[in-house]
Amino acid sequence: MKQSYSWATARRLAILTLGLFLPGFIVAQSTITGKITDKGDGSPLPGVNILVKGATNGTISDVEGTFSLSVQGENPTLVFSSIGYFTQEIAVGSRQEINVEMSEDIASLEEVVVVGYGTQKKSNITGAIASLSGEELEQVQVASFDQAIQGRAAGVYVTSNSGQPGGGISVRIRGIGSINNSNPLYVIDGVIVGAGNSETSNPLSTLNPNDIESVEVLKDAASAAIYGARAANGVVLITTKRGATGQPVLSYNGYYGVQVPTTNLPRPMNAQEFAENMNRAFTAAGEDAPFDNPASLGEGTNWKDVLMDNGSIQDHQLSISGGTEKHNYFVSANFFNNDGIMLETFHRRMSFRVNTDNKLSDRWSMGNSLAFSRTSRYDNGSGNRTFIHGAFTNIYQMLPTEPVYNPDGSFAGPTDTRLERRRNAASQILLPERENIQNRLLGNLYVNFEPIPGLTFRTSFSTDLQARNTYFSEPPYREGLLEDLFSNVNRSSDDFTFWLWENFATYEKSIGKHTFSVMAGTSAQSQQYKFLRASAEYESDAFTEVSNSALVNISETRMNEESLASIFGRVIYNYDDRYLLTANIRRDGSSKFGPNNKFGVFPSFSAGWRVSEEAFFNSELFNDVKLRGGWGQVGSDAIGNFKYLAALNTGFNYPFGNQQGTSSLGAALEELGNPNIQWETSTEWNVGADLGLLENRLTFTADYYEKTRTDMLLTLPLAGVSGLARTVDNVGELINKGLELSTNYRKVTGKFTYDLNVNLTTFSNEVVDIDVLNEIVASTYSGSGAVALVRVGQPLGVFYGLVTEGLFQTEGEVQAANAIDGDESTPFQLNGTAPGDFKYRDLDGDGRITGDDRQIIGSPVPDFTYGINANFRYGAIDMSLQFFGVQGNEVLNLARSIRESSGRSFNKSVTVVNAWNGPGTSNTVPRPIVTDPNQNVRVGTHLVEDGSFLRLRQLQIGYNFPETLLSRIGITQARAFLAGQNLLTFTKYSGNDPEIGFDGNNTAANGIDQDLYPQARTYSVGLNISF
Amino acid sequence: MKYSIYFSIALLSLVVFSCGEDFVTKEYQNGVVDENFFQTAQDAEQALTAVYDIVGQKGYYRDAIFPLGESTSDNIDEQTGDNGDFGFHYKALSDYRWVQDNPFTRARWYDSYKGIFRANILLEKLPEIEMDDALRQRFAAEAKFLRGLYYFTLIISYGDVPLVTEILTRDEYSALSRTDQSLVYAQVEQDIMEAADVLPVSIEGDAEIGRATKGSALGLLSRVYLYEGKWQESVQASEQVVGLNTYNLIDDYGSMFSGQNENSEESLFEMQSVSRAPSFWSGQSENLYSVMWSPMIGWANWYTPSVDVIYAFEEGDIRRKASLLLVGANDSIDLNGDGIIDPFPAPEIGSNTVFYTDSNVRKFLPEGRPLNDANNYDINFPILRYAEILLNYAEALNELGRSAEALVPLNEVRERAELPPLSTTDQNELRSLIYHERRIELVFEGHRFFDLKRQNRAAEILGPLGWQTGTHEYFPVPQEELDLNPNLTQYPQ
Repeated sequence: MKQSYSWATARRLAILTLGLFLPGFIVAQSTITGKITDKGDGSPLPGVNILVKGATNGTISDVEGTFSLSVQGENPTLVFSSIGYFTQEIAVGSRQEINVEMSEDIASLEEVVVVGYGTQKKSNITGAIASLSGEELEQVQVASFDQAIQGRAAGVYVTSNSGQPGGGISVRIRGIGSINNSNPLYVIDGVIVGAGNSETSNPLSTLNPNDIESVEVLKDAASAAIYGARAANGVVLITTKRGATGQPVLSYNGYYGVQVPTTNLPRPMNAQEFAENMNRAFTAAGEDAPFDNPASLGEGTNWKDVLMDNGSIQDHQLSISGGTEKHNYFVSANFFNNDGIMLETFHRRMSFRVNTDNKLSDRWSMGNSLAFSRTSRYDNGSGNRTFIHGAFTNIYQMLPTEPVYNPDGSFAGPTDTRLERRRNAASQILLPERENIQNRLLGNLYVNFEPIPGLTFRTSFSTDLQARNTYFSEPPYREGLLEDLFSNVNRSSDDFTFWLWENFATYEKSIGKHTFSVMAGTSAQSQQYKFLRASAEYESDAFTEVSNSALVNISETRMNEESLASIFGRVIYNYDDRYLLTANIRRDGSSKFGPNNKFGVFPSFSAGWRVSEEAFFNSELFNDVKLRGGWGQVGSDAIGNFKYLAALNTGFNYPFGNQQGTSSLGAALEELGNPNIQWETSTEWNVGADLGLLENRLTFTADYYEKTRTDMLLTLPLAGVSGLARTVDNVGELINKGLELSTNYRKVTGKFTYDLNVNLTTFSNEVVDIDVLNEIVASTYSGSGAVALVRVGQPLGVFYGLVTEGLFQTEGEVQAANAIDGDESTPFQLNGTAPGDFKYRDLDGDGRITGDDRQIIGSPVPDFTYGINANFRYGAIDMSLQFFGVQGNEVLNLARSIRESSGRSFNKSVTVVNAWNGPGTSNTVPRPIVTDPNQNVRVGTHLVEDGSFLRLRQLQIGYNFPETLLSRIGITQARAFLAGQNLLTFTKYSGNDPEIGFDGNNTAANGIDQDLYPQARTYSVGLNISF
Repeated sequence: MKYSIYFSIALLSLVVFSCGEDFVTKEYQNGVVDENFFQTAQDAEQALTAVYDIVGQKGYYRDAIFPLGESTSDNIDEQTGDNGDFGFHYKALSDYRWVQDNPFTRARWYDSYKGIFRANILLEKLPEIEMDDALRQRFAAEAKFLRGLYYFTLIISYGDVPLVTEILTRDEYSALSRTDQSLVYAQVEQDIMEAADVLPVSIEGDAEIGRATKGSALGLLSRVYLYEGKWQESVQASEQVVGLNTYNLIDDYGSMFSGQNENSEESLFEMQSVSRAPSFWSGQSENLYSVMWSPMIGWANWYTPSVDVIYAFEEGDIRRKASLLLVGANDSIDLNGDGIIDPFPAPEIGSNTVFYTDSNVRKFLPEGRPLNDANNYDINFPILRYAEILLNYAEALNELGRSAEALVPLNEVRERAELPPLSTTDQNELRSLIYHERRIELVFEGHRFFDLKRQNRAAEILGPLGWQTGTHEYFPVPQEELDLNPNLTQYPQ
């Protein structure tokens, strides 16, 4: 915003100068006077430039908005113009007095956009860039800014991977870019921070969203190529707030909210229902019923009540900003706390920021950004997607017949040997002591030097220091039949050190109607990651740290280094603000690749034509028409370090010399190295159009892109017969295509004002090539083998399984199926398949159900996503609404295959009460039988559900206290608000939450519900005050 | 001002120069990489240790040997209601509900080929390593012995299996198909014979305990030939073992399975097990999985002896007490390691365990240490022992019609069990007696299912329990493996 401000100031100054000179040259004939006002609030407008069309004379309006101008000639036309307002032409006729109301140009094409190593005027942008202001982001009460951009911009698809406080977020820019990490590159105030492993926990949650001034998303390759080898998934540029010249402004922004689950989850069975179900399940397997009298058991323990609770969220921010002509500053302190809706899950953050800018002389300036944050997070395992062991899964599987506590107050445990013996989920969470704290210092220092006007050198040194400490200790315990005689103590420490030094020069020059801007620079970065872990086991709980007196003592350290060196450049050419050209190039060298392929070059070109600036363009309706097109190549290096090497794995030991207590060390390869691996490359072209209508009150942007990811780095599973697990190679090709539409309408005048934004993004994702393989298994599941595939000709991560045709209802049906292959003694499905079991379709017609009877049964890739955002203001009251929708995707509800499973002797969902119990009783929920001889747990079409949803992400109603009242107590501005998040969700999906997201770092395993931590619904109250 | 420009340009250039190849090259710090391995004798030894590692893995003698060799047979009757992660799969095998994702059949497949790969790469690299030539020969022989053991285990578990004896490319691995088992057997025979030629008769020093010897190779050969029905060759191999004059039956039968008498003079090859960091529950220990059916661990009441096997022991057979725990038997076992023999079962935490057949497997439970400490199950598994060789010898001789000669080794085994000698020379009658003796002598050691199959008695004996001809000869191959390899077929077809 600073740039925008100074730009506007410069223009005003120029006009003022012009205005002072002009009157001297004119010959007065008749004098026209008038007053110019703002159409919105009727206030007088000073500094408006008034020219006589076709002549050289003119004037500017004074502080009262009035003007006086002598004109000559017949029926002259006056041109009224001012920065930020629409230019008007008015024929004088015979009038002596002309009063003009000028409309604000709300689309503000003079606004400046951050583009990476510089800024550009929005009107001259030729690529596809989405720009969001900090104010928009602050409307949503979230831990991290990426959650706030959900549904805000076309082509930016944001999904929470879990409702866990501080949980992972997937940001997908323009489709799902790769089978690998598809997260965009993040650049905070010029510091390239990367995304890290943001699927399970979110590294950006260390960044306080209240400090953000603006977020720019470089969507297409033409814009992103300046970030070269890391830009293939798009680039997100985050600019934090800086001070502005003026009185210090002290602000407080805060809110407090309560959180409840978004969906009404079906409850687990109570003790009586469970006992009845188990009796049926055991009897069906030919075993004795375990419960004598289920009715006597009553409700038992409801583990949902034990493990879930209302959560809370609060955020408090104090900031002070201000400055003089030479120095300005922004300082903030923030405290955020989110206690999740599950027992002992939380995310806390304290953060501080100091940003300054200092003009040392006319030529030299320097400044800094510096932020410190301390984050503490605890996720009780429910955030990870490992099946069966997540705390959320425990809600359903813990036995209701078992209490949480023994009469003596200690944790109870399983006592019945015939039933599943699962550790008490409350004890698992509450018994251990844990800590997970991360400190992060992120900042940079820049020096700007401008030796001659138009030429600027900038050097910027950035650093990102992160330290994380975790601690876990659990005393020995005995809970029912389960016990661990040893205590467990574990401490770990991660240390991440990063520095980045960038130097670049920019030269801008205008010659007549030609404007050039050239930028060139270098960048070097290096990072080091160190890991240390120590753990110990003791026979008592007397020790809570690792020491030599431990029975068992394990320590481990690891170290990794990574570096990147780059040169880059950009040329921008602009002819008369009509024809626009931009070219970028970057060459990156990375330590991630072997000597054969260290360096890569990434070019891009784009062009724009502002049709509305042409002389022939004369439209009352359209104010702005721009056509854009671009092409570029960008890379992705989102793989681990040293993948080009085959590192030996150790720990394959064998204890020769029996009972000596030590083992001989063994080492073996588990993967094949590949010295030739290189960057993934994304080649993309983009065409777009920007339209402004009705004095830019209505704007419309459309983009179409096609991007082809080649040399996709695949971790290829090796057949088990190789004795190896995997290898990597650049063998995949993936195409994403999409249309992005967004439209905005604003009413800015009158007492009732509003703006409305609708955006829509279509998806088309197709795997074109995966080398000699026809498919890669993206995800597997118990009993089913592959359940998600990367298959040529299909979208990434399609679901794979059997076609379910309801349940066998009678013994006759089972026998008839067995006889299909001509031999009734061999089973159609499996030994023991009986009425009440799932019946599958024999796709290959061999009379048996085998692995060959599986097919593609769904796709997690949506047809389109959309967002609807609206802001209303009536007098002192304002309201904002945000909807986010996803349409046409499917979800594989694996959680249901366990919650409604036939087998096993753990608890299930209450829906199992209505399981098949004789012909015609159910065609969807299979019979209970502990041994599950038909493997009803297998993945079939019955688990594929429509995952479309529309969610009211945010509703906020605010009241702005009248200034007259506030000024008496020294407050400049005050606003109170009520907000609700995730208040409404429209979906047919039956699981916890239709917002499933991605699985770990495995981008290809998408939309598979493994009993996720659901999103919370939040009700909050907040206050914004400025002094 | 000029100075400043020069300064800036110099600054820029400095960075450009510093950003060359060297700046973007980093050293791997966390271990050894491929190209630096297989250089020294020590590397070779570590690679060989990794081949041995498989012996103690889940798919082999630490765990899968029990459910795959015994739960599938008439020795074990999995009636347990425990349907947790382990018991569920033991019972599925016992009930002949054989599914592709059974963790034990999966582990056997993957572990076997891991061992084979590690042997293949070592055998390929050994000639290039600078080291003592005798040691090189011995390492190669050990690798071949283990490769033979792994392929033999694959054949009896899966029938025809892909045969790989060298390092292939990814595409080649994905195109392998099942090789006729006669060819795989030929490779097994060749590997073991070559190993037997080189391996020493006895190991030198304690540090070598656990390494394969000539006796290990010849003993395995005797078993392999028996499975192939090559009676004459089996007899020869057994005679060679006997002729080594190294092995004897030890008096205390039970002590071989309770951690009291490991690597005894009866042992030809034994899985070594130590109690070491970290605790059993962390999953990284090398303890035996017999802890899973220990009556004192409380949550693990599977691997239940069948009623049939309980009554299969002859009167006075000392092996019954060593193999079984029977409820109410006052001379049962020292449960808490206090030196006092306790009645079984103990009233302690295991009291909720259900003993469906009023019994529990005793083999592989520790003696003289508390049973409720999972870290005590550091019991070696005797993979090849002299008693088996004698039974192989007896069976092969009888099949060759040399029944009178067969009585000698058979009676040697019976004598140790404190049973009277047999005297029949009727080939058929003796065959039944040898089969019976083999069942009892090797009970719960993972032989029964595979023996019944090779003796063509599976349909007769296991049929009533659910075994089906044409379906349950071999275990299913993991589905992922079929998904990755278009030429690999499932059994049954």
